[in-house]
Amino acid sequence: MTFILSVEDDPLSGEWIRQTIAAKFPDAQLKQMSTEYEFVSKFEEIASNPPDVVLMDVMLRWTDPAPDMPPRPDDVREGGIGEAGLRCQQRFQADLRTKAVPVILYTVLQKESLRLPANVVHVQKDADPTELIQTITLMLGREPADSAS
Amino acid sequence: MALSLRTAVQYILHRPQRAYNWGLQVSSEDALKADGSVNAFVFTALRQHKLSGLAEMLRFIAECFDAYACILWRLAPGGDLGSDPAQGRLFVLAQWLQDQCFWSSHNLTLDSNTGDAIRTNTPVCVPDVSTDSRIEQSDPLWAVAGVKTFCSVPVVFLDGQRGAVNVYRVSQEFTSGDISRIQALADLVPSLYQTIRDKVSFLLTSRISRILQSAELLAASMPSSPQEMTQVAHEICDVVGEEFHAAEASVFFEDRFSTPGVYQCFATTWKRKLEKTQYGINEPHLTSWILTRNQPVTVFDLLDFRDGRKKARIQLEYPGLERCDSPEFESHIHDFFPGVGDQGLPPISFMGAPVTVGSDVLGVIRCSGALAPPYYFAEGELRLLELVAAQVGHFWSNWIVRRESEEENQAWRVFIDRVSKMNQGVQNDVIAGVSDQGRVHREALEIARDVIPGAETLDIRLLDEERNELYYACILGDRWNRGSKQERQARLEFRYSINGPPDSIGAQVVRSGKACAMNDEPDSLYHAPFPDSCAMIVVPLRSRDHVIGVMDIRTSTQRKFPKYAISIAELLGQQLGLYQDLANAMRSLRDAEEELRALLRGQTMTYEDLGHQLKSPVFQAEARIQTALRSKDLPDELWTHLSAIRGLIRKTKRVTMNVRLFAQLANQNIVPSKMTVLDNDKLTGSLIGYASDHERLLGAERQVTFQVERKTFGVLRMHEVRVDYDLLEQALNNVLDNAFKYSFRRSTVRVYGGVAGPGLFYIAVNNRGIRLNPTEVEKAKSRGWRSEAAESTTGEGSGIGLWIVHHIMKALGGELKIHPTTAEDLTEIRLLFPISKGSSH
Repeated sequence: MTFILSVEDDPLSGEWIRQTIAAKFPDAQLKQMSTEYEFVSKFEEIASNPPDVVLMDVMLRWTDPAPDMPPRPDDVREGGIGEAGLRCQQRFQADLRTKAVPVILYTVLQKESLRLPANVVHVQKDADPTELIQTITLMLGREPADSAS
Repeated sequence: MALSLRTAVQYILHRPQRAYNWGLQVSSEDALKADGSVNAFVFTALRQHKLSGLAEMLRFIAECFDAYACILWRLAPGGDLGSDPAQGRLFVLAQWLQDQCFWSSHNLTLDSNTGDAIRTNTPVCVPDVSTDSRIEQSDPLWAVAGVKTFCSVPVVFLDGQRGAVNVYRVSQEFTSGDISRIQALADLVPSLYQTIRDKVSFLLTSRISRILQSAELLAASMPSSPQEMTQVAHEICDVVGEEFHAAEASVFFEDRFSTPGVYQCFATTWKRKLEKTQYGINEPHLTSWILTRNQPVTVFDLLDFRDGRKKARIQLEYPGLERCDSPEFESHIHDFFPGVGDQGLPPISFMGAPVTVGSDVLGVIRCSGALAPPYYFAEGELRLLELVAAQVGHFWSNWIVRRESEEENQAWRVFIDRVSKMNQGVQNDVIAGVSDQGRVHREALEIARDVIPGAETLDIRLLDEERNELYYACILGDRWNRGSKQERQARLEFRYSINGPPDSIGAQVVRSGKACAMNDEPDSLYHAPFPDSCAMIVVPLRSRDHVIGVMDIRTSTQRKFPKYAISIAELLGQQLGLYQDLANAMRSLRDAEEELRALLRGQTMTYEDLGHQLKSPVFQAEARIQTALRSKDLPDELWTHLSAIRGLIRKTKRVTMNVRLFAQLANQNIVPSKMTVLDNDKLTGSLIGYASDHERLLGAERQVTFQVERKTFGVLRMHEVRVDYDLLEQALNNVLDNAFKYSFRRSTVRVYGGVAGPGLFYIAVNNRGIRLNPTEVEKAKSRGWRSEAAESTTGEGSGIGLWIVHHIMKALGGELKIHPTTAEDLTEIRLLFPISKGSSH
């Protein structure tokens, strides 16, 4: 079964991704995370069972409001939310278990405004999901299910 | 054989019981008498502590031989006994007469009995003066005193000059024994006189030393002044005049602080007014000659200047000396010798010594007219005067140094104070946003003029970098006003090329960047417009790393600029350069500020325009969605999408409004466009709409719910509150947005209203979530501020939400209040509105 990981902090965008994946990749298992802290704290779990492809938002909040919030590490504080997705992607790249997992940076930010490594794929968020689906298909190496969008 | 002083002293100390054989032809009885006479004579001499003690020695001799008088004659300077015929004249060096009212002639020629004794070095006796044809019979000594006979025995002074001791008797002739004894005593006179002179030297220098030490102690405790020097000078003159029995003792000093190059009379013992009280260098007078040549002078008789031959002899010894400068002495010498004819007058002797320190001539001390023996200032007396001059020189030099230090300290004090005031003026200009370069330049020149002694003509020239020329920017000094109007104009309009020709000091300073100071240089170096300057300082005005102009300070007085003047001028130059930098920076800042304002205005207009463009489509979209949502039989899925779309449209509307309000606040305050009465139903309806949008769009994930307590807004039925609905909606949305973003999972956001004290209605939003520290409450209302917790828990936001709410409430006449509490992490935000006066409906 195809395992897709989505890291997206906006609930509406997350819901839209869920609907799109369900429609185009009905047999795929989708796991969703909404904060950088959730990604960091669950990375071991992810690395022990790496996904087949990752949809990574770039601008992610660190954590949700809670009585005992984890404090932001120095690199998160210095880099800010604008580099959260890139930090997560670098973590993937740095671990041998997840190094080969393709990461799609799925963001409203334009490619030119990001300092992207060469092996990172960028897809700009759009109302038309065609480019996203094609990219996921390419990363997975197969055709999506042909269902009405 | 002459008896030496040493032998005489030895005799006194070790006097034998028998007569001492001096190798003279004496009888045993005469030897005893001589023995006692020499002893007493030496004691008499050694008891003297004044130069006039010479007369006491002559009195002793006269009394030993029952004589009426004893006169010590000396060959006047310039005499030559070796020439053929012998040349010279004799004068009275000292005398003692029984009747002090009688004066003999003070002049004798060599063709006289005394001259014979001196020339032949052999005693000469005149048994009867009435029979000697060479003797002037009318001389009071014979004609009035009744002297009949005299004996002249030769002596040799320690400086090699010849003289004679003459003893005059009324009746008894001199025996050979008398002559021998007179010779014996006379031989002791030069040595004993030198002993007296040595003693006087010690006493004189001791007295002068005490005077100067007292003055030094006094001066150490108070600022130096010319008055204190005058007092010291008077004391010195009194002592010198007393010791040398001078008719006039005067000191002249240069007060280089007020009259440089002029030597003023600081003190004199001359009772009448001196005809000439100041001297300069290179004048033809006697005192000027001493100042110019820095050499001591002694003149036997000032009346010799009337005789061409004698004057020539003086000029041979002192080349360039034209005339004496004490005509009043010639006129008033008789005042000191009443009843004495011209022949009876002693020479008007003169001596003067320069007061120096090193090669620097500070003044001169002089004496004229000896009124008591010795009646002539010989080399020995001149050496004494030079000792005094040396002592005074050190004292005067210290006084000058002290005054210079005081002047320098005062100059720096004034300079620092004035520059501080100038800086304050510049600071005020900066605050006011103005730049008055002209005023600053003038102030700088005034400081230089007031602080640098002698500064009289000043200017600032600035560099025209395009034409590479210096032009006058500011001038100060009366000399600038000289000449016709055209000349003044031409002077001010003149420009100095930096690269010449002709070259100028100012151009050199600009090229080198180094200051230039000139004192006492040839006129050719002092360029236009005042080539007759005596001293000049030119310093650069430096802005950062290049020279922007020069400051030129000149004087035409004799006084040189002190060493500290150039430091002061350089500091002023640096200050003016700094001010120029400041003025340039201010100009740049103003230009940049203007550019930024223009940019901001443009951006604001753009934001407002963009917001305006969005407003209509967003309004239309919301309206159509509302219409669609009111349709009956709408499928659930469609209704869900439409609701979500309506929420997104409303969010777009809120963000658009925030952009417009942000743009407004960048230039001005928010201004309500339409104030109407706040309606309870409309308000609660809006609140419920806002709450449901937030819940639906954002609350599902974290299960944050909204609770609107409608009943609490019932107070609006009794109180009138006027609001601008668009602004109120925006404020509520911003507050609710924050409440949702920062609420904990599975919590409830409460919205309620009420009356808070007299005259205030509030709408409150209360949530449980991350909260502010009490110290952060006011910061939260400032633009761009976000707490650490907010930064951690939001993926978007720029910290302007509450800032906009704060300004909206101000525009509505109300206030934003934030109340964080520790209890259960609750935060209440209140929007306070004024209740309209007299409202109750």
